Amino acid sequence: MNPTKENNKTIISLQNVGLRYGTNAEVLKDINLEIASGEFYFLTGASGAGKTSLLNLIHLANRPSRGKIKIFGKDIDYIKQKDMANIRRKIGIVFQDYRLLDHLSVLDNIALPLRIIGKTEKYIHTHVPELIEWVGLKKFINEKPPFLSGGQQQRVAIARAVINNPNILIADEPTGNVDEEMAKKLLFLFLELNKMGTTIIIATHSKNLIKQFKFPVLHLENGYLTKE
Amino acid sequence: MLKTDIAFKSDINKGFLPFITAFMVFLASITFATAMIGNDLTTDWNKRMSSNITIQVLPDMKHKNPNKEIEERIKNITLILKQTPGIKSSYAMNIKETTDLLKPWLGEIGKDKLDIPLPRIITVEISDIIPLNIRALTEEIKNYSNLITLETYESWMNEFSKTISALQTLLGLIIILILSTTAITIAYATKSGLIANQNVIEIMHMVGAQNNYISKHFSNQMMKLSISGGISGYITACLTIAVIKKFAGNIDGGIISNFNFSSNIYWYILFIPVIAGIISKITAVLTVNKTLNQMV
Repeated sequence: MNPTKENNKTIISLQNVGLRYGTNAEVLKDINLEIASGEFYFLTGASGAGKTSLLNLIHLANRPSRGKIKIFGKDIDYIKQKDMANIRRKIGIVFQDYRLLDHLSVLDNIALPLRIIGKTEKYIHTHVPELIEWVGLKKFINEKPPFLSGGQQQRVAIARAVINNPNILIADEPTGNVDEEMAKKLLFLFLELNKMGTTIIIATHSKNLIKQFKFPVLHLENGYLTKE
Repeated sequence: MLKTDIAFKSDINKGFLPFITAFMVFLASITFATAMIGNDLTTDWNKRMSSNITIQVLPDMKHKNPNKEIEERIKNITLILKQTPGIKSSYAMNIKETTDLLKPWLGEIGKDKLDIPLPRIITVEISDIIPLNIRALTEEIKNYSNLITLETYESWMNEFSKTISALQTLLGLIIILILSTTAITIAYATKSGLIANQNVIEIMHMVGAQNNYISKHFSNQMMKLSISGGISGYITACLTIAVIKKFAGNIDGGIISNFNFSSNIYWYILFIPVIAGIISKITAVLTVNKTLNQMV
């Protein structure tokens, strides 16, 4: 499932979106955002600014309290559960807390999206180890997440997000727990995916990364989104 | 462990579900076996009863020599029986056998009292090959003498069959109750398994799993646990039946003259763990779908 490069076609659209949890104040206010296929964005903001909430809206983990969201041109208010799963398959997600399955090995965690779409075990055992080697975890292929360091778990989460060549890759602080060399290596992986047409949004605090890779920055402050 | 199952924590319900299914399958198998043994006994008794009839010849007390007269009628009736198609053999009990039969009620009858007129019995064995027209025979006997009656055990067997049928219906209801309890238990076990796997399910949703994919794999895992329990329950039930068969085989005489029930019983009760597996699959699918729809 290679993402097709359809430049300038809007694949993420948020119009006047607001989000509140329960009866609390809105964490996201009047968000208007249009992201075209093949674009690369950094998402910045202080802790608690709503970065994770915004990413959750984009990968359909939450629904907005108000406003309209369209992903791949489809209004999420009218998407059926079955289609929702199909959309999620086109979105790779790296969670800030990794969200790996502790009872599965590194290989099985990364292979999960492939098994869900029905790839054969032969395909999985050919492609997954290659990626595991690339992210430097060859020695840990059969290890389970609780026995890995934070940085190693982060790399497993990234590998799981990209194994399926997603159309959109959302990563919440993907380099937060790895050294500078590995952070660069991972960013180059994201760049490679971006060159192949994957739209990328990376939430980060790292000013170095933003300086080094000159991509547009979305900034969240007090629930409002600005583009820099 | 199959790769299709790896997404879920396999230790959930690992001990509880197989145990409860084993217990339920054991109970249902024993209940079903009891119903089958009842059926075998009824069939066996029915066969034995319907292959025999008894003719009772009453003495004619108005006759001046009832004992001589009864001998004459026994001779004639034996002749009629010999000529009737469908009768294999007949045997008229002599006076000694008759007095022995009546000993519990009349006590020892001395030689001096052997001239007391007593009713006499003729046992008749019916042919397996040639059909007997019992109605025509009854009619013929009645025409010959109104002091002769024919007993086919039909009404007694009807009552007995009704009792066995009622018992079997009751046992059937007990099996339904056991299987329903199994289904309810599996539903709760599935629900608790889903709650324990909620984090896994959320992650699977996030990476694009559809509800039917999650439901299929989760229910397969539940079904495997149930089947493993069901097989244990089945084996335990077979061993129990084998022990009962061994000890009950020594019972001989009285109403239970043949307790050597068919060995096919082990095959027949094999359907119970299969049904338990199907029930667990259906229950798990329904519970998972319902719970997943509430989750999303």
